[in-house]
Amino acid sequence: MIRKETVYSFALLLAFLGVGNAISLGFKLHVPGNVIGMILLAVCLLAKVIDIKRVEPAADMLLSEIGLFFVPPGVAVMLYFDLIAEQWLPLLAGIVGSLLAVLWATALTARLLEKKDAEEG
Amino acid sequence: METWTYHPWFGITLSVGMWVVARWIRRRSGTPLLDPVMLSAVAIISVLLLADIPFEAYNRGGRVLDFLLGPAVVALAVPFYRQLDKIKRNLVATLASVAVGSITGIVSAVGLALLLGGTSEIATSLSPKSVTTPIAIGISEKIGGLPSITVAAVIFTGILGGMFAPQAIKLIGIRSRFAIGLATGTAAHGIGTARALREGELEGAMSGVGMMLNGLITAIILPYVLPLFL
Repeated sequence: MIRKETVYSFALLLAFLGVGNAISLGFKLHVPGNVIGMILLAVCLLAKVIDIKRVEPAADMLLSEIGLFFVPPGVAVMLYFDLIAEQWLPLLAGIVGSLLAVLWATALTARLLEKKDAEEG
Repeated sequence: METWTYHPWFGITLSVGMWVVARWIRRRSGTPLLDPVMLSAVAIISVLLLADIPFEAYNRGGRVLDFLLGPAVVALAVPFYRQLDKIKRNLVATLASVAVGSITGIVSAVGLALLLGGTSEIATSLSPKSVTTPIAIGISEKIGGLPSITVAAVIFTGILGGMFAPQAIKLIGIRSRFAIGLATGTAAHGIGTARALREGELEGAMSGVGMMLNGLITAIILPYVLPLFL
């Protein structure tokens, strides 16, 4: 059962997406429109221009199933089987090694600085 | 000849159907290794290959779901706002951690690929692999990579991160939900964020912040860092 509030909040998300896309294209930015739309919505929520209750219904619905929207790009991997077979070793090592490096470097820095912050505050 | 499989109904129904089944399997099994995105993708690829249905047919519906990613990314502002006190209190920690992660990601991906015999084109294509797909495609085009390989690497990174990121971080003794969320999003973008949201709202919000900041930071610094290696 989809309520009226859910439709309104979805329209609001689409409006922010549209403005974000227009800014991204208009200023030829390398930041995609959906990220600009997210920043603008966050700013509007912070400035109390928009009440969080107005965006929550559709936002919570989309976020609870966000993984579904990554299924099609996941399936698209089937297009690159030949190329991946040729360069599998550097690809695999680069992906796995770099993934671990980023996870550990980011998490270590975060914990180090977070602790310091907590002690000061 | 375009069969009924070219109607968007086919790709949408197949995706949503497999997603529902994959989510059910994931819940029933209780193991985080069975990531629903990976399960759904593997099942759908198998169906398409066995039934000899081209990807273009499936993707008529796939593009409809791709579109919903746009408003879903905008919607990340909501958990971001809800967790604002945590983000504000750790503003310096957040920015510094993601910046460290961004530089580490570029250097380690390019370095490892080149060391193991990858072409400069492959290394270039790998360099934005931790960044969310739409930003990564733009970066890859700008720096002379192969956007198709970048997309494959981004998705594989995301699937691996969605499967193992929280465990990989706990492996080195880190339990902070702030650190786990931030690192997962920085390393494994939206697919990692989908996983982080299932860990908890704080993890999801920090993962969304990591994803967003890493996209911005990498887009800005990558064109300057990459020439140092190639």
